[in-house]
Amino acid sequence: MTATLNQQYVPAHGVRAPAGRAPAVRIGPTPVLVGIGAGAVAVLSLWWMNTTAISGLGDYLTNAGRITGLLAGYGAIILLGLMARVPALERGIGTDRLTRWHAMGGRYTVSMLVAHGLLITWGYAVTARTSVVGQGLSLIRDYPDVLYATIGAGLFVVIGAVSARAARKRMSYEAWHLIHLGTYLAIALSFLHQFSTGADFAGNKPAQYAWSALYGVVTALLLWYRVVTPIRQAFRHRMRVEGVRMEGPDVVSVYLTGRHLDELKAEPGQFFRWRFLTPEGWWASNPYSLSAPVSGGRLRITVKEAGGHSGQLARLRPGTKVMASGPYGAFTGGVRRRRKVLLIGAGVGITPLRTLLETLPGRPGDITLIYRARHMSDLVLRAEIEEIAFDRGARVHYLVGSREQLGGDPLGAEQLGWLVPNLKHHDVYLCGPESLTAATRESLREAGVSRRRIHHESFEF
Amino acid sequence: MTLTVAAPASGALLAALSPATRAPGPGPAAGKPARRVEECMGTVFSIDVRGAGVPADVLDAAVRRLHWVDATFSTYRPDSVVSRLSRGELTAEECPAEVREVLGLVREAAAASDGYFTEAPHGFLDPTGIVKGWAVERASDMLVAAGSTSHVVNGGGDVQLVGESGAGRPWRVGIAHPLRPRQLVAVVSARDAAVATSGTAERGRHIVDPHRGGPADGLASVTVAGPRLAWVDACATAAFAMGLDRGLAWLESLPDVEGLFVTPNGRTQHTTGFPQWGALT
Amino acid sequence: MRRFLYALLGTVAGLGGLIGLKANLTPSDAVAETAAAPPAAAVAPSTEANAPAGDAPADDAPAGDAPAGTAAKTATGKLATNPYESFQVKVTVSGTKITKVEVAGLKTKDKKSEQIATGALPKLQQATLAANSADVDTVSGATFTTKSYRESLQSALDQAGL
Repeated sequence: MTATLNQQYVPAHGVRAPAGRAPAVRIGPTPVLVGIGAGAVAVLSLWWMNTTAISGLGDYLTNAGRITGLLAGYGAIILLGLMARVPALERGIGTDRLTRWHAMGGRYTVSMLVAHGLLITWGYAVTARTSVVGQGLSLIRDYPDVLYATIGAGLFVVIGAVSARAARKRMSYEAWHLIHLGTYLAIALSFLHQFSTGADFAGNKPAQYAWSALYGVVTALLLWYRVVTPIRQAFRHRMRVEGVRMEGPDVVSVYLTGRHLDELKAEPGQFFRWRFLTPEGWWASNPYSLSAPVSGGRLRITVKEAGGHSGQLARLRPGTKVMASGPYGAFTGGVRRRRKVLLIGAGVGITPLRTLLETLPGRPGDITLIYRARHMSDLVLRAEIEEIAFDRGARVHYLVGSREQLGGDPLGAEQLGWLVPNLKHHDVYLCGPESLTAATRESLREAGVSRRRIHHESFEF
Repeated sequence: MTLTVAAPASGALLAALSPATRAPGPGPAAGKPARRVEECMGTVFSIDVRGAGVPADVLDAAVRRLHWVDATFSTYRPDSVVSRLSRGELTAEECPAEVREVLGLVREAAAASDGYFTEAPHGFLDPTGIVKGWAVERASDMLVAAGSTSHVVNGGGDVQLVGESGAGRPWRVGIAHPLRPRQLVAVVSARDAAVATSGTAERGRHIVDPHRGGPADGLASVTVAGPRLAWVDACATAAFAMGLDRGLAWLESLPDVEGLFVTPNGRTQHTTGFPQWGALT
Repeated sequence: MRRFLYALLGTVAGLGGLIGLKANLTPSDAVAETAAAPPAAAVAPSTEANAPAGDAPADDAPAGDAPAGTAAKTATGKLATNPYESFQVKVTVSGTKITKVEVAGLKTKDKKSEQIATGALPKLQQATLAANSADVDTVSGATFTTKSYRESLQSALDQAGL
């Protein structure tokens, strides 16, 4: 059976690919970065216009403190905005990239915050010829809301420390998530002192309005997309578990059904955040990609049993209610520009790739899939993949084994070039653990694939 | 020297002129709480009358009294009584009774403080170290004589308190921090008391520069609390001149006053009885 | 990590540039509009007659005052001068709270005075609050002159009470 570029492929096993539709709204990374930069310039100009005179060390320090404070306050709300799960951003930038931006911005913001506290205290102390410690205590005691802000800052530092990769590895996702929620509290605590003690806002109503508007808009987005929308979707779609199937010793597929699922506009390659309403699993929301296109009022996810939660999936009973928010992710056919496509997946990263393999338009020979795994038993959905590949004329390469067994890095530039002729002219979709995708990206670039043609999604949030 | 007073208040005023009178006289017309702020003697006087209050004309009279004191005692006015006295144009007997009273207080203070409080700090007769506090005390007495049971008179930082500020609530006097403008170093709570603070020349907005300031054992300020202001004022002035160690010891030796010292680097020390009067902020 | 360090370095450089530029542009001539401490400092010139001190706006009282308790207004007053400096302080008051203090037209003889004057401003903003939060009725301190009274805590208390 052949398929041409313009014809949708109908897989043999009866799951119909969705008909093409106009792409939903996407906001790409460039406009967002430009917007964030413009906001930062506006914030700095607020300081510039409010400052009439600077002379002497105390002034230098105090003003540096004010600027870092403004940047920290701006940074904090931008960080929240990135995580608001705004669909246009999720589609245009991608969840994993947003998360990386959030992590980088978080480090920067916490640094600005700490610098702000220290510089202001030091600056005031120099001007007043008092000790820095005494000045700090005086600020906390006598200035309105500074005590709350200090508590908020302490919270931020703790959250920042706990979010460092080294610390995160040592704690459960649930514990980390709970601590991270403290960010909302920290921001609320720090907000008050910005108006009551901040020299740039005191008595400056327009600035206060603009700042409040910024915070208000982001808060509204957060509430809408993270709280209201999942609830709305739950009522609208009434998703339930239809059944589960063990794909292998450790791998389970969960079939879900619901109403009006086409309204979700879920594209192959995207994922949802799933909350299974069981006594043991209701409080956690985990991201899993769709492992098959949405069709016939049915969705499917395929999950490797890693950790306690996934064990719970195998035990899901049909009829269990599910709250799913999404779809998220920019890892879709929408970003493809070339006729030739290379799909590289490892571990659980194969699931969105399997969906893309089925639905990406292409002629025989256009699509290649590389599946990296340590052991044969790690290969998930293998039968399906081979069936689809056979039907489509797509090539599949399995790279199984450790590096020693394979005699080197199977995903190095040279090896890739050898495996995939004309590598430079491919769009590459890459999905797997962060370390693997990072290394493979390097290889691809080394092999001459342009950065813009590499699309990747990492599953370490 | 003439003293013009409004007729209705004259009885109360005359009663108040005799030294150390605090017995309330027959209260005339209905009093009411009031506040007054008046510029005088190169500084600002604040009067806050609460409780039963006093008639408005009594308040006016007290204010006029302050101006009279200014005119009489000011060493900046060459025609004031004190200036003429210091030039020898008048003898003490020719001066008003009040001037003699003040001079007597000055001598007492000088004796008690071993000369650290002196009537001629700059080489000529200058009782200003005590006059302001004394004037405030007198003004307060006038209000008491007119029936006030609760008021504070603050003359440029020297305070005389009568009664309490509200039901069961003593007056709270903030002690200005000499090094941090518009901040407090302590709060004194008291009824029927006086608080005076002595410091280096008027600060304004400036913060004392310890490298420009006085000798090593110098002080930024001394606050003294006691029953009556003229005496307390003199004690503060003397203790300030004495410096930290000597001043502290001297105040400890006096039975009815307590003191708080602030050094140029912000350190505070107080006499053992001070905590009964107030607390550091 | 590297990008983070670059971002920090860039920020430090940016801070230095902005602050240095602003320091260079610090103005040194007097500004036309004058201002002073809390509005309607009820200080009337002393007279022997029945001047009800406290509510008669004397000739050195501010123009355009905002009596305590009304909406935010900017208080104006006279040029403050002393041997070390002359400058104007513009104070914005909301109700009884000083919400903003600006200094303009610093003409100082002394660099230190300039830096003290502008540096003391963050504290000027909160001074009334300090008095209020300690809940005192009056303030004792080294004798102030009429001028420095205006910026003193006692003045703030008197304003609140009058």
